[in-house]
Amino acid sequence: MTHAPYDRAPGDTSPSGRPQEAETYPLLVYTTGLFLALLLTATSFWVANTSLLWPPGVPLGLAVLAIAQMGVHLVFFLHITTGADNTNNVLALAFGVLIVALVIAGSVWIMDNLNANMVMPMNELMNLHMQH
Amino acid sequence: MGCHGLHVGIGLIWLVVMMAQVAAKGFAATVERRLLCFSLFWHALDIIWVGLFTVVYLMGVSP
Repeated sequence: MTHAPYDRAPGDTSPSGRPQEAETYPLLVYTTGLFLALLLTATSFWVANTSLLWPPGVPLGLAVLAIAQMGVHLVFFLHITTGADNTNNVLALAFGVLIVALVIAGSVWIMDNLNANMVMPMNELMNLHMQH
Repeated sequence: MGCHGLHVGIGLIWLVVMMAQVAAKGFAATVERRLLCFSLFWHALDIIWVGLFTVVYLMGVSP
């Protein structure tokens, strides 16, 4: 594992007072991010409204565009980098994603279970009797 | 629904406070740091909305 003597918190400048490389041209970074975000948004709207594409592939295409959009936000707006001084931020992000995924997947799982137990048609009830 | 309104309301108050600080003090080091913390909150919401908007709206209207 790479050892960094200093971990960068969001909004920090480095201890030497020298701005981070990515922060040297903040306007350029934010403008690039804005341009890419607009491009991806326009493409998403086009994909959702066009009839030129194979319809079953549209949700997948939208998912790909959405994930790309999230990547753009992380890199250009939240300044997540692969640098050694950014390891803590990346790990915190990964932990956050894990927890959110657990909460969402667990909620859907529980709701699905409740839904299945709530409405039980007669034939399903019969099947249940046969199994036990 | 009420909780969402409260969340949005507090976020907007934070936004206005940051605007006032920039207007009053300019881009001092402390203000800039607070602004970056606020941008963390704001752009994290953006990311959540990318997911929500794609699933609820875009996948809803796609033929």
